[in-house]
Amino acid sequence: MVILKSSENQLFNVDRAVAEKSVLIKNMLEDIGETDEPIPISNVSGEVLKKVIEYCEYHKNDEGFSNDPDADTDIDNFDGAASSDNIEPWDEKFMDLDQEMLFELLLASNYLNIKPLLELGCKTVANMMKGKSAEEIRKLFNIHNDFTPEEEEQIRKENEWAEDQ
Amino acid sequence: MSKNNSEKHFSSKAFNSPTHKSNIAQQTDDHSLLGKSKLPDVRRSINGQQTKNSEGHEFFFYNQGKLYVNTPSTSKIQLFENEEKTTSLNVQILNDELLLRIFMLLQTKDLKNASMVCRKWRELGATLLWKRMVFPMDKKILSSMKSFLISNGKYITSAMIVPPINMLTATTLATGGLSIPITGSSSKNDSWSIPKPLSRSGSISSFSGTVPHSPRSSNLPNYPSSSRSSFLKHRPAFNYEDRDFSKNYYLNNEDAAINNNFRAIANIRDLTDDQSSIYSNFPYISDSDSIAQLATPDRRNSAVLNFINQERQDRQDPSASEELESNSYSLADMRIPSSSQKKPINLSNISTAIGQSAAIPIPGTPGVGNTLSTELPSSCGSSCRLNVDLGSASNYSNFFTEKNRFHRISNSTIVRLQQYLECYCPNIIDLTVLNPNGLTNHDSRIELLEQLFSTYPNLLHLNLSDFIMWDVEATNLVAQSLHSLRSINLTNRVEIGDQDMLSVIENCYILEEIKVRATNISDVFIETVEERLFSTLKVLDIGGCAISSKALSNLVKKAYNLVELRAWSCLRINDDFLLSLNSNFLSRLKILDLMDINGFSNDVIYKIFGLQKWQNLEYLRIRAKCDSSLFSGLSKTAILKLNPTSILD
Repeated sequence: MVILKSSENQLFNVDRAVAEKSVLIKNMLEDIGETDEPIPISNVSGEVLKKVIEYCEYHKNDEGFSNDPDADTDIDNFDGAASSDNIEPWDEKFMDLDQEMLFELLLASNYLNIKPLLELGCKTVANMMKGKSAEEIRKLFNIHNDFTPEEEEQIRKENEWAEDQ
Repeated sequence: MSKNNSEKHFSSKAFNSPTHKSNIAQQTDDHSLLGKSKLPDVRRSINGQQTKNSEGHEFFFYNQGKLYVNTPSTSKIQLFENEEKTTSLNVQILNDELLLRIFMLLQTKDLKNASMVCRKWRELGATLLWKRMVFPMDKKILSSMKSFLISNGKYITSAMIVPPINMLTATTLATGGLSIPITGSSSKNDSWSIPKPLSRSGSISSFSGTVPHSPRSSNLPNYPSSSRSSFLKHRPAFNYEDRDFSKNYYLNNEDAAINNNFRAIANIRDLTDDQSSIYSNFPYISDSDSIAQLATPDRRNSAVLNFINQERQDRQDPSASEELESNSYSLADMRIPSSSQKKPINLSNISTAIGQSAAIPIPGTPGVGNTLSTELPSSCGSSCRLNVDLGSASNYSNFFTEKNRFHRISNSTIVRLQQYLECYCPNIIDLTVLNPNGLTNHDSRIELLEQLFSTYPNLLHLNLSDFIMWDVEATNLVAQSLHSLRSINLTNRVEIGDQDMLSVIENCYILEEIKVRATNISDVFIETVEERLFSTLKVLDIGGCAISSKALSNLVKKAYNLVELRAWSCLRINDDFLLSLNSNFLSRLKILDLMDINGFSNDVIYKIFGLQKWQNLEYLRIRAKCDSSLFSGLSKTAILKLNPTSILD
């Protein structure tokens, strides 16, 4: 068992195998060996950490769940061709969160280096944007439009240029 | 409570090991580097206070899917929650890296919409949208690209120089991009942006004309260690502040003083040589004090931000500093072949032939550049197919009627291409040159390469698999100019032999990837690679080459970083080579292709792939008279192709 401590000092007791889904924690545990001391996850709140643990619990027996610290996490090699529509039903339900939680979860999975959760989160957000116009995306995420109308027109033109179909 | 204190506290309390202390510090640093939002700071400080009294934690016990909660409430957590509510949390808290990951999952159409949402997204989206650009050697199309390049050239990292575009056959991808079949291209995403001719009236006016840092100005071309650093600082990804769209940047002081409207400069039609030297010698704008004074206060702020950001970028990108280091030792060792070192070969007969008919494809060398026909059979299996004929797409009727005729490329076209690349596309690190059919003489082809290489002395990836070379000059140019090269692809260049490659191997001392399938190289090449590149070599494709078991054995006994070895159809290879494969030594090997080789016996195969454990080998293609039971040393997830009959297997 491993004890994880969230940013507000909530303690979570989890199986070592579950905790090691996070490459960050795995490396940490390898460095320090067996310990009864809580491991501080100082960048992640308890609420988010709880969610992360729920995910790792469910997926703890997954084949090919990458624990390899050498695995390709390089942004240049990130497989952009991966389609974003093959999400497992459980994962989809798991990701049915409010935006704030969703983005926090993304940041946490990035920090903790849990690649499958990170990919799932990115897919979820990408799916939210699919087929939406710029205005609809702004509305969805509450983003302020900081373009002048001229700039907007300019970008529209540039995007049409080198249009490939 | 400072960050340092809390770190110390963690490490001394929770972990006694000194190595861990640095570990925590590292993580915290990483985190702040990612620019995550202000939130973590708040948390960290509160956290630091709380750790001191180890009593009063909320206690969650999570096991077997059940959650046990023990909640002695503390006022400090309340405090924290109040803080959190004041920060509005939306998609903007995601850092650039995460946003980019999300954008990568979008199709081109959606990505274009996303790039119109706000400035930040525009910057990030553009780095993906315009990453790979095709440059046709057609003056009219090039001219129409100019205004686009002024605002977007800086995002381009990969360029493909192609013959006039109506000679190309391309395929549309599911993502909406275009795929141009290139020999030996193994890139995951073969989508390229292809320019569409615009009518003059509809051409894009420039509201954001950054004049990018010339890739070679202020660099001594032959000193990669000095030039690398400035190059990396201006990488397009992540440091977006320095390219804020609302600000006009000026080409030079005079222009700035006379006219605040950049458009005037952007509309200069044809750059003369003199003008272009002004352009290229002009220092990167944010480094110039005089420009900063002319600029708005906003601009100055962004220059400061830019500085901070660059520093952040430098720290954030470990590979960058690694590259710096690996370059720095090399200055003294650098060997530039003098002309006397060039090995002259007798070309008098061949070059006469070139003069008459340079564009005739060499038999057995497939590739778009090697044909004049627009009716190229495409082997791509993509669902929808498009014959890219930009001549017909717009009002270039002259161009259109000429499309099946021989298209001559004038010198001025090459000059313009080079100017555009140098002025507007400083960040290209990956270059593919397709055979320039329209260039009828060998010297102009070499001159084209010369221009390109001197523009990008820091090039990392070069693909000349569709570029016909008649003598050693082309590869000698590579050796002289491109010392930072990481990968070179010369697949199918049957005219290339050992003497072409030796100078490249000796001068491009950090090459990691060499693809010379179906060339004329022999053991001498392999021996030189073994001697020079054994520590850097990661990918080697020598399919179809007449390599002996002995030479290849010696190489795999030394090249410990080898990840991918493709020796398909290397018919001279036999058991002796297999016996030299040691899974402990080649611990990184992922792909091994030994298709169509008849010389392997079952007991040696079992000895190598049955008794040795190949943890990381993911893909093995081999011919053998046995079944897969002899391959018990492969991991369960590895792909084994036994006796495949087709290359697609």
